[in-house]
Amino acid sequence: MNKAKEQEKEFLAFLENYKKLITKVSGIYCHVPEERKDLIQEIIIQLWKSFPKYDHKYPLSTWTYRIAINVSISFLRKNTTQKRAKEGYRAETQWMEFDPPPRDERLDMLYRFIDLLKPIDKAIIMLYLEEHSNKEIAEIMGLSVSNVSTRKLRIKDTLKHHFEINKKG
Amino acid sequence: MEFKELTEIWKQSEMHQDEAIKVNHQLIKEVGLNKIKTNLRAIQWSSIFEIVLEILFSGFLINFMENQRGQPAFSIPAALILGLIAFNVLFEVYRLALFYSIKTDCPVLKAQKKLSRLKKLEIFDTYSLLVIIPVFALPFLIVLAKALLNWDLYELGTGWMIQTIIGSFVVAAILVVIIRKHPNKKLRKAIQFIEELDEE
Repeated sequence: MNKAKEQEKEFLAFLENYKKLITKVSGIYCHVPEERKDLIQEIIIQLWKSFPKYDHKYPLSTWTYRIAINVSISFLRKNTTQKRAKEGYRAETQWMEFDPPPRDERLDMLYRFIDLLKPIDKAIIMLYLEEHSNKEIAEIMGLSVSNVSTRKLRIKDTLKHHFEINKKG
Repeated sequence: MEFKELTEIWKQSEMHQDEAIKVNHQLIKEVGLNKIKTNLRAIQWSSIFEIVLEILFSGFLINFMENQRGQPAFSIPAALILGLIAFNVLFEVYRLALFYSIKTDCPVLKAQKKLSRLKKLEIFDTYSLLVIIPVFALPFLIVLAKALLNWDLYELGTGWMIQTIIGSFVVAAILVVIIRKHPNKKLRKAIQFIEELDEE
């Protein structure tokens, strides 16, 4: 088997392992199903492009999170991406097929409140909900551990505030 | 609602999700991942083209200044334009260097800060163009008329030149005010992007 084929095989195996992570990140930043598909596609492209240069000093999950979050934050502002996706290979965009699981009211509310947060805070709270340690979050985000801790408190307060307002209203 | 509870809700959402997501291996192989170009590359060609064009034009200006040595009426406007072009070449080179330094696997904050800086340069570029075009129009006219047609625009008197300069500044100021109040879609997105990340 030649090197390119081998790498392709490795990449597809990697995608199988990290597909949930990719859909999770895309779901935090994008709610419109069609746009979410485009975002997933863009994440996969960037992962593939960076795959040969993967830096082994970081865990694969850290590396994947960084790419997925970076692409997601930038994606929504890039018309060209959406345009290209529509013009180019929209017919073939189902690179990852999934039906979003049914959400209960509380989960819907959580997503809605997370959506009100700033892009960086969205990533932090998602990583926290995924039960990553402060150190891991700091490594992914490029923040200090103490900064992560402070931000987490602030975000939790914000979310709590939203839930309380919603409860009263 | 306690945060622990939120974590529980979050966890529930992903139960069975792994099996529900299907990666379309065949399609990914067929599309040919290697052939895909990313949109991030769009910026580079316009910048490279601009740099090449400006370097060529700089050569033309230097040649013109050599020919007009001892005639400050022509060499000074040419020097002004040359200065502007040198600045712009440096600006574009910096922009390209910044662009290439953005790696998607960088820590998120670092990558986004660089992207934010890139967007700020984009905004600066748009605003500066509005000032540059009217203000440098006169030196351009003087130099191009002399270099290409051998016309001496000073023979037409200096009154119209003063009026043009004053008029240009007024037009530039009006354009900046208009674009600040009603930025175009691209500019608006760049500003919004920076605003969202600024507090970081």
